[in-house]
Amino acid sequence: MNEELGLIELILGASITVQLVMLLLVLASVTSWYMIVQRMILLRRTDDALLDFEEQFWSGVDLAELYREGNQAVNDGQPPTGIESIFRAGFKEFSRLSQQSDIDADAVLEGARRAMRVATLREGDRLEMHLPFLASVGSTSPYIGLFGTVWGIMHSFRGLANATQATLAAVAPGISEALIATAMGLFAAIPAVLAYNRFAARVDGLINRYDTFVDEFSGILQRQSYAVRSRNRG
Amino acid sequence: MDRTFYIGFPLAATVLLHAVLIAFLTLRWPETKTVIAATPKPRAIQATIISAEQLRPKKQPPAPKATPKKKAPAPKKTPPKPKPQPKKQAPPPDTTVKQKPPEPTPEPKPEFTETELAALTRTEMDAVLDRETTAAAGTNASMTDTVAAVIQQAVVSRWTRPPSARNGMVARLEIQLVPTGDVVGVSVLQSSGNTAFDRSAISAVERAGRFPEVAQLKPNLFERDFRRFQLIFRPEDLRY
Repeated sequence: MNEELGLIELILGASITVQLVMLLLVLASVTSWYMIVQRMILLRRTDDALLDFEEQFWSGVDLAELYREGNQAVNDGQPPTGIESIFRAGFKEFSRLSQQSDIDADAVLEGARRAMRVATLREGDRLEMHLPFLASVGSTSPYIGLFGTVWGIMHSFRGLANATQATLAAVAPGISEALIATAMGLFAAIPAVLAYNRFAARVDGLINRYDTFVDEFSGILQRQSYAVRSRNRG
Repeated sequence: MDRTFYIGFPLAATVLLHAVLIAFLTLRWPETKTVIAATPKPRAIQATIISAEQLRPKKQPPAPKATPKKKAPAPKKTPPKPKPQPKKQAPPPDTTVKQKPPEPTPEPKPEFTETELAALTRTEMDAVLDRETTAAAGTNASMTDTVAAVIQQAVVSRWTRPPSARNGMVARLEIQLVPTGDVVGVSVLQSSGNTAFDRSAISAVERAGRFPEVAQLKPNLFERDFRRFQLIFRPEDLRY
């Protein structure tokens, strides 16, 4: 009873299957944490950008001015992201269509809305990237860990079959090392599930705000397009 | 710049998190604690015999340890045995503790009654232990030894062995303490094969209940040696 069972010895002493399972789980945990931190940064930035942009948008600045400001960044090689890409898609389509005099106001508006909807979908995809991976890690890694544990316990009981005297000490280390696999599975799964739920809710919230913005912006465009038409007619 | 932020930072955070976790797990992995060495068992002999008629014949030999037990079955072996044992098993401070009590006890014997004698022995022991404690306060190792000796004495003085106890029985208990010295857990690591004997050992520890001396130990010493430790009980002095 004097020999100490360190964590490292337990892992090194495990059978190859259990070690593979542990390796897999470590990889899953590392990858999912990487994605969690990355998503966290991305979502925070997107949130900030949305607030900034809305403030600018409703400050009464000329929309053409706003579009031109964005042009500069695009020429520098930074494609617009977030709410700005939706605004730019809508505004570009609107100005392009309204230059053609033979298209009526409704069609112009419809075109602009469609462009913005596409941009919104693309934005949603960008925000939701990697979330399915987190969901898979969250739902499968406990099972993978459990598999490792069951395998390890099977192994240690098989060893017990050959022993004439069954002592607890003969199986205890095997079970202990096998249980590490379950612990690792849970360690990988819990943050992944929490992060998935949190991020999914945040992405939903962002997309809702994008949709709201699209509606508001089309309201402005509609007003403008009818004003342009009536001026042309008059 | 964006690229480094989206890839480099999460990567660093991830690696750091896992490294910290692994370091924490490997460094703080609970260990099975030190056995309080063979020292407990000789004291077990002394204290259980402390009732005065037994005390007289037994205190006379210079090494009180295994002598009484060995003497009864095989008197020839007595001279060689006691000598190596104190050297092997007891660290220097302990030897002094053990050797001191026998000196005063033989002298007052004729005049004192049993209870007085027992009381005297106990105060003597306490005085010696106190001296030990102050003397040893400097070095960690002897501090640990002293506290181990105090614990052992406290347990042994409350140990009443069942009639079914036999020579050669060994019960190994694991005792868990909290830093205040309170006993929070007692479990049998190695049974003697006799439930009554095991139970008597457990109840001796439970009756001791608290070892206030432990509270004076430095926290790291406590964690190392007394958070969990093992006590060995064996009735060495029995004659049957």
